[in-house]
Amino acid sequence: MSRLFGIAVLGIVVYVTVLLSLLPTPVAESAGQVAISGSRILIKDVYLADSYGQRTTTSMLLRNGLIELIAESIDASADVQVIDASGLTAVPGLIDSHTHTYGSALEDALRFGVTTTVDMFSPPTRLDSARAARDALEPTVEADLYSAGMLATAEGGHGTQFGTVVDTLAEPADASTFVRDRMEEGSDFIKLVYMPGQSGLPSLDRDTARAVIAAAHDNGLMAVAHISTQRAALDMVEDDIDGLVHIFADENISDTFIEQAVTRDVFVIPTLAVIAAIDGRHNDRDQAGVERLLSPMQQQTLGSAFADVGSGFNLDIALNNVRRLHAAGIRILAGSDAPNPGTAHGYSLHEELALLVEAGLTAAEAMQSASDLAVSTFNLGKRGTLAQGQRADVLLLQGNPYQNISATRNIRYVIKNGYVVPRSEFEVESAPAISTGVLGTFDDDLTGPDGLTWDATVDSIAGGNSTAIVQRVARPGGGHALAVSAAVKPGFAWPWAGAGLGSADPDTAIDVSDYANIVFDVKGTPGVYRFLLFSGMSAGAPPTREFSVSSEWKTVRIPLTEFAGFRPEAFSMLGIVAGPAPNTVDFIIDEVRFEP
Amino acid sequence: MRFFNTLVLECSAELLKIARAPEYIVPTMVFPVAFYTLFGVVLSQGQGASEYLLATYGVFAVMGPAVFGFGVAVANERDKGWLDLKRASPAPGVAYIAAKVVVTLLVATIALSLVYAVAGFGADVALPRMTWVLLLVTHVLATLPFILIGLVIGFSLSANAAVAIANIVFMGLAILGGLWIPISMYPSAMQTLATVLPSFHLAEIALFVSDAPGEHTLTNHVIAVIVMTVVLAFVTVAAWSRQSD
Repeated sequence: MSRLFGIAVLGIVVYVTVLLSLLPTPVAESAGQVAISGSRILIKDVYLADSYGQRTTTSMLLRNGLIELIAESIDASADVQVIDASGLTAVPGLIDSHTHTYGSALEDALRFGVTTTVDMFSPPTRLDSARAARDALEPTVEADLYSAGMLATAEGGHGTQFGTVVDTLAEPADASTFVRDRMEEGSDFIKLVYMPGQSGLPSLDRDTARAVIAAAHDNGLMAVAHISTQRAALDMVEDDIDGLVHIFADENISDTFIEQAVTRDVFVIPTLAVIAAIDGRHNDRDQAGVERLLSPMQQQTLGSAFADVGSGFNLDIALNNVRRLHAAGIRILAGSDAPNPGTAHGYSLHEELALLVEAGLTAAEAMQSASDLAVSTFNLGKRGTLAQGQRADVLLLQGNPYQNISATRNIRYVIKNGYVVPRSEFEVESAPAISTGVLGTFDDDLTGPDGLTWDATVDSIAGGNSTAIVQRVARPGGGHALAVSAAVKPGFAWPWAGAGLGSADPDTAIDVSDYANIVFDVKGTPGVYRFLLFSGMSAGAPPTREFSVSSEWKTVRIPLTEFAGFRPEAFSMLGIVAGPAPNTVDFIIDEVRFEP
Repeated sequence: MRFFNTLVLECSAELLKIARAPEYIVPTMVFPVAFYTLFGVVLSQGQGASEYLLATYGVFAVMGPAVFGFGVAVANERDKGWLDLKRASPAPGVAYIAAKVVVTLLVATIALSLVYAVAGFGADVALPRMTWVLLLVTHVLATLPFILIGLVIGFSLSANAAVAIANIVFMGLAILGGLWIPISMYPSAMQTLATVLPSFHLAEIALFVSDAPGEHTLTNHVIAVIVMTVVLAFVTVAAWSRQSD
């Protein structure tokens, strides 16, 4: 009978074992491969560069404003927007550590890949909304903003010249009230201006500046200083400033300064871009293609120049000083000081990065100066690195900026809070392509392609006095040509008179970028004539090339690339004219065409 | 060795009894899986309910064989003088009790396996293989305190009274311990009451082991179960001594 028990136990053991081995288990998650649903953006096959510039191919899932997952391979569900980023490099959204927020600053910055800005003085009115916006994870077209708000300066001192009401300080006793007011307004840190000994420009005295620094520290805030000379900078470093928001460029940096800076662990935001602008030495303006992204404000600030600001802004000295500070281990942060004359929000940070590399930072170090180093210095939260759980501020670039810093300009996607920033909405609408390269045969009438017509063109449209008459004339061999009688008269800076192809619509823009040459046949009063090409809304003299004419027919061919400043994607008008020397001429043109 | 042989013989006799009179034990095996199928699968709403209830109905499943099969059977046999006879026989009395424990564990295992099968194949509850094994071990061990409760009933009450009391204890442990409905849905007074019941703590341990939805801790519940088991062991010995006199 005892066998009954053995059989029963064995049976149950076998039964339970089989059952346990058959019971379902969760769908296996093989390494690096995860199934996803309900997400927003999947960046597929992107290069992720580490701080040494080594790149690995990976995929990145962005959801709810954060980087949710970084894995070698991620399967997308249907509701995920997939960006095939093969060949592109993902870098953290850039951080500009020295800006002043006016007008379209935050939109302009974001369009150029700057996802977070650190403002060094602007009216405190937008601080509350800035705090809410930078914590939100919603789609936005604006960069996040951290700010000093109101700056600490003396009555009539630097910072008071911009027409805004400034809460100035007169003596050390004002410091604690000043700092308390800034905290109430929502300043993230305290910025003070210390420019002693500058003729005609009042400044905080050293005791007051020191009191402001101490009051900031008492309230747990960081204090940074605007300085313009080594002497002032040294004072501030000795008085326990946390950071300098410019590099001084008045003289070469001293060993004493470096020693002090290292001992007290200050950081420096050199703002080389603005020093270059003051010094009349823009690093380079070669950001091919981005012109279309410039807002009116950016175009205006980039195009403007400083009035005389005196000496002490030597870019070479600035570069050298940054080089030595960096070599000594001082933290260097990237800041543009936009929108000062010669700079623009967003745009100028790329210039700053290139200048930092020129000053001896490696490309990778320059990238850090505009990302994680800024985050740790200003305590900017979960941004500045690409890791799971970080804010999804991501740029997708062509090239590897950790090895070649100019690659930061080749932005293909700006992603803020997990959403692609619609940069193209800011671009000028692209013009329709021209329907034919044949511009004028004059055989039937004076019409050209796409609503353009031939007519006389003279400088009267720009205020000149020249005159011209055009008419079709039969050619002996058949067909017609266009005869022009032009009288160039003085009265305008660059007078002209001749035949032109254009439209009554001033907004005309036609894309002729499929063509490489303008070609036409011409004969007439011997001499030097000019060919004008207009594109977009150009001001000033149009792009111009000269050509010579004789009494015999000849074919003139001019490459479009020789027309400096001509934008073939927005052709609007052309002119075949005499001038600028006063003259009266007759000439005949025919078979005007664009050729590849 | 003799004890082992006796134990095996006693076990075989218990199994034979089940085979010949299945009507006593089969309901305790089928009842839990029927309940789980109804409330944990068919009527359950919301994600994770089947998984959550698997842990608690597993505790429920081992309670039936322990409290009913054990308590009522012992009371019955004691009533009929079978226990007196056993004590008079040369076979050790402990072997009689041990055999009942072993067989109860086997029956509880079968009851559990039925619930697991419905959960896994009927409700698509998917757990890592190791979790299935650990959950089974947890549930089987959970039988022990209930066996002690069954023994106290069996040693203390007449056969008729034992059936009534076993029913009340069985239902009370199940309902108040949160085995059918999560304890969090009860008024706070009932939630407090639950903390003195082993069924509640065993369910919490099982929920922790199965990694069921929600926050579950382990240490305090394990301590509570151990303390309760030791107390029950003393009460059982006392009840045994009292009925022997």
